Amino acid sequence: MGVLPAKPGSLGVQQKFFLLTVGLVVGFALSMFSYFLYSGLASSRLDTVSNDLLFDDLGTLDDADALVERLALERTSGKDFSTSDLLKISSNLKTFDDEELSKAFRISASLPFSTSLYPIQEMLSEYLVERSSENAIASLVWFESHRVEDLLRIMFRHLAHQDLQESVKLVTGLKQPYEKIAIDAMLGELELTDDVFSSFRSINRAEIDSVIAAQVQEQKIYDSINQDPSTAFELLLTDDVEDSEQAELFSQVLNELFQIEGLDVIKRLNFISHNAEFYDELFVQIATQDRVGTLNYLEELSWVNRSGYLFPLMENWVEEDVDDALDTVSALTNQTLRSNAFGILLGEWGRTRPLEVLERLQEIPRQHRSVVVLNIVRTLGANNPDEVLRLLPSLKAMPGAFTHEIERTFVYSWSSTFPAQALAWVKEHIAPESRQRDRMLSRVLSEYALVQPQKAMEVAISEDPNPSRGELGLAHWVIDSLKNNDQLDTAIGLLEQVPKDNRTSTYADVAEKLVLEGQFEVVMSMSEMVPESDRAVYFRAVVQGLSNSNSSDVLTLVAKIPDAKIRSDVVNRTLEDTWATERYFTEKQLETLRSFVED
Amino acid sequence: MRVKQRRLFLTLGGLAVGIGLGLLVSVAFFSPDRATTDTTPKAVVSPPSQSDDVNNEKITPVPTNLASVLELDTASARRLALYELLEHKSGEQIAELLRHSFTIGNTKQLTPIQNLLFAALARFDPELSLEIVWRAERKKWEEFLTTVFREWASADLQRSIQIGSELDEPWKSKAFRTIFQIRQDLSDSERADLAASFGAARVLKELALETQIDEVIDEPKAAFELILQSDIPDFRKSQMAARITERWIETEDINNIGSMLNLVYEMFSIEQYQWRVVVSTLASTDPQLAWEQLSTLSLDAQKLLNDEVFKAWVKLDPNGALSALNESDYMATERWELNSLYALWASAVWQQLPEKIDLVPVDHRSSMLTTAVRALAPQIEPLELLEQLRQLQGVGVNTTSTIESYFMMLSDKDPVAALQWAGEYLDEGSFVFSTILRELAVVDLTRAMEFALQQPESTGMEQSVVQTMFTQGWLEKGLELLPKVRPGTSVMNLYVSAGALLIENGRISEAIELAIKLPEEEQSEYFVNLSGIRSYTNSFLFVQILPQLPSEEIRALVAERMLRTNNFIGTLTDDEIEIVRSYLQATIE
Repeated sequence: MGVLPAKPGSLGVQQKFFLLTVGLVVGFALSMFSYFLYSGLASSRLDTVSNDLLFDDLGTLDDADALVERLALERTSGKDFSTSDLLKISSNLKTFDDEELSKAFRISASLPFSTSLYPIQEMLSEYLVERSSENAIASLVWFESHRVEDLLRIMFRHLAHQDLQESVKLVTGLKQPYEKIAIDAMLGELELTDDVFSSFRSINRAEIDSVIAAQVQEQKIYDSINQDPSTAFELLLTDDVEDSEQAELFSQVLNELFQIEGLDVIKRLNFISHNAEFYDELFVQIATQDRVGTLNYLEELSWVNRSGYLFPLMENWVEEDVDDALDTVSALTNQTLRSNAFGILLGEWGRTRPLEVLERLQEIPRQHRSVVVLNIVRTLGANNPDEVLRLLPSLKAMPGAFTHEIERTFVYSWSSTFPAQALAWVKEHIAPESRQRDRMLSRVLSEYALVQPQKAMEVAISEDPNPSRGELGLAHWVIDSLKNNDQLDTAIGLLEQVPKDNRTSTYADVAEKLVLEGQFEVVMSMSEMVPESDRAVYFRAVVQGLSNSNSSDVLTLVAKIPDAKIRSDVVNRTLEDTWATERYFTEKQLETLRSFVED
Repeated sequence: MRVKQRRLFLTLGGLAVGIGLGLLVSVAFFSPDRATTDTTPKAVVSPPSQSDDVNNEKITPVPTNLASVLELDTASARRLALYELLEHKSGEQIAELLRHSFTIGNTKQLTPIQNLLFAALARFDPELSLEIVWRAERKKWEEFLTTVFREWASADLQRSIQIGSELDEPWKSKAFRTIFQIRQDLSDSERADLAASFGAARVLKELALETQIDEVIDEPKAAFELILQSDIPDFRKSQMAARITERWIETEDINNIGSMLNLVYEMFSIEQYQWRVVVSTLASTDPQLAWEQLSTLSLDAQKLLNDEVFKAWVKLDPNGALSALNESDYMATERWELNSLYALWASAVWQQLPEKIDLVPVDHRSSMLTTAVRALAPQIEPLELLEQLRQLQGVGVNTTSTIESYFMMLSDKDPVAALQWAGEYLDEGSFVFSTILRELAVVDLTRAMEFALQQPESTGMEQSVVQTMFTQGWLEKGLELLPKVRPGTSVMNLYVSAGALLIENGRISEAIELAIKLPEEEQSEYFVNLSGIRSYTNSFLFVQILPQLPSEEIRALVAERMLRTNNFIGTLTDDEIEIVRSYLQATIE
């Protein structure tokens, strides 16, 4: 049969078989290709990592770099990153040897962020710490600080259970702040038994006891926040832990109390030291939950407390939304509160954004403009006096802007940084012998004296007499400034130049300082440079200055006054000042004092 | 033709069958579902292992509950087991496990497992995960919140930001901190925009500062400079300064503490009080050495830093610290410096103070006590504190000003208690009663007024109460009480306060009529004072009031006062000055 020629127009069996086979093979190949093409794309969208891992021979995988990079980089969308993926990754990481783990951990430190990166790093850190805690901790050197803190916590949390003694040893090798973080992580994890405390005390640190105590205290506070926030608040107030270290606990406790007490919680702030740096922060935290309510609430507080809270409230409000603050304050019905709030609001606005306020000055009610303008001038005056000089005419023309006080405020501020320039300006622009000139010079010369004492004294003397001036004279402010700024010797060197008519008070001020240094003889000599008729006044002034603080020195000084009549007069005046004698003298001292009185 | 058709038929038929077969084989043998779903988790997680431990775990059955996970020895084993447990669980099932974990109690290693549960749930339903954070032990909120926002921010930045911004503080800041830390793929401008839009600018500033500080943490000067230049809250600056200092102590030889203190003095001004935490941390390492070396620095440096150093010393050795003050001529001319140092000592030995008071020079005892009491008052019950002051009085200390200062403080916090005890400790008619009454009037006006009216007429205590009403802006209450003020004391100030408030409230005619209630000879003084005393800023209002004043003489006097005030302040416009001057001229003419 096989040798028979094929009929024309018909197919042979072989040919049929061949065609069928070709069809089958090509069809099979096509369908397989299509299937893998489709499923491959699909799997790379959904599950690349798992498929790659499955199809790879994981047992022979030796390239940690490639694996970690792939694990971390290919996962950028969290939506398709599942617990199954994590399971697979974790189980595969388990097959890594120590070197591979270390390498993978190190590589992961420099990888860009991806969804899988942090969990993988955490897994790696667990595996590493189980194999070699020392190496694990050393590997953290490759990480950014915030990540070191996270991973260190994970490591020490496990280490604390794994081998407390060993972990305590490891802690001592850490630098700050990591040592602290590690200790906190362990203390937070362990039941705080005596054994645990004793292990921690082997850390040779002076403050370890206070760290442990703080941890115990913190636990107590946390335990009571939800059930009894008042107790938690009391604990915070009375514990030995620095308040600034407990700022967040205060914040949480006050939030809880706010839920119970509403804005009344503000009253509790009174019990926190006003010096605490986060005092305002805590108040603002409450206030921002209801600024308008807080403002109305402040109306019920006493003026002193009200003022204390208005500052942080307005400071925050100005920063967040100045227009809202302006609208709300304008609508207040309590005139006093409105006026106070406006003053603080505008002052803060002028201080922080002077140029912005300048543009809107006309919108501000006239009675409140002065505070803004004065703040602008004060802020700019110290650093940018040229700008103030340019603005001065237009500011002075603004109704409600306090024409004369603007100039003074500017000069005061200017002189604090550039006293010579401020002095020159005053001499050129302010009318001689005017009260304005006297006021400005007293401040400017105080500043100028600190850099050019002799020249300052010369100007002071050349400006005298001024009909607007009181008995002190400008020379007084030169000496006063030197004395108050630890330049007593310079002040003493200039004393002789002080005009005789102005000497009494000025000399007495210097003498008071000399008494405190025990230089009684100099004080006596200076009395002779004061006109005789003023000598009793001189001694009285010195004694008066000392009475509120140095009663022993008063007694010593009085005993040294050579003139019995003056001495008796000074003592009588001192005894008449019952305010001081009742408060600052002992009975014994008063007895001694009385013994100086002439019959 | 037929042959060709048959060939085509056979080829296509083979192709079709081949395709079918191929698909069958592919699906049957190479299905991905088969790999991920049909294989047990056990099989998937059982690659060739390298240790017996791992092989042992290989045959561990899939855990069925949290307890069995927690029983495992290592963190990695627990993690793996938990993932196995969670693999096919729904969000609600994970939430249930999480809630269940809160009932387990103080099991060791529970927190890391809870963290993993929060993370797993956050991948399904971050809002639910966040909700459950607040059901956890409070101490763990921060950690779990961070976990949730880490997952959330990875998957859905916008939503995580939206929800984070709606949290109360401190959680809002913590959420944003996590978001900004995790999403490092955001550009600086994107971060800044997000921070500005959601009120998280401060968090961003703090993170940037922390990064900068980390770079220079071993250069304390540079690190402190960064803090001082930063625009973050002061208490955060202090926390960062503490961190720098702790590192500084490790890297610098503490025998050079003097130069370290000097650096602090050079860098910090008195207002930048982060220096306090720096100095106290430095000093606590060896306060006596710190004190000795501090005394070699400039006077200004000592004046700024000495109280923190002394505080650390007093805490450790109060007697030694006090001896250093007494034996040397330390700061002999700086009375207030010494006072605050003695006060630190007094606070430290408060309980034994009556026995130890002789150790303090007599001039410092009274003022030291006042300062110490101010610091101690919030921590000690009033009666206990007052009793101790009585003891001190018994050993010859003049406690008058301390008691006065204490009652003024107490009246600010608790005026009712202050009034209750004041009678026993203060002299009748003491000025402190006025202070107490001013505070009491705010919280209990009736009681304050009753007490005031029981006092001798000469004390004029009721004036303090009525004045408080005007100071508070409570005009009607003040006006109501005004007639109750007893004669014999000057009431001018009260009337001026009332009149000024009436003017500010637009009640001009009432302000003018108020004068009638005063003796005739005092009426002109009332108007003169009204025009300028209460507020210079309002004096322009009086330009319109001038014509309404009752007499030409009063108008002239008021005009003169207004011009004098204006000469000092400069609040009136040229036109207004002309108007005011016209009243003056009228009198002169």
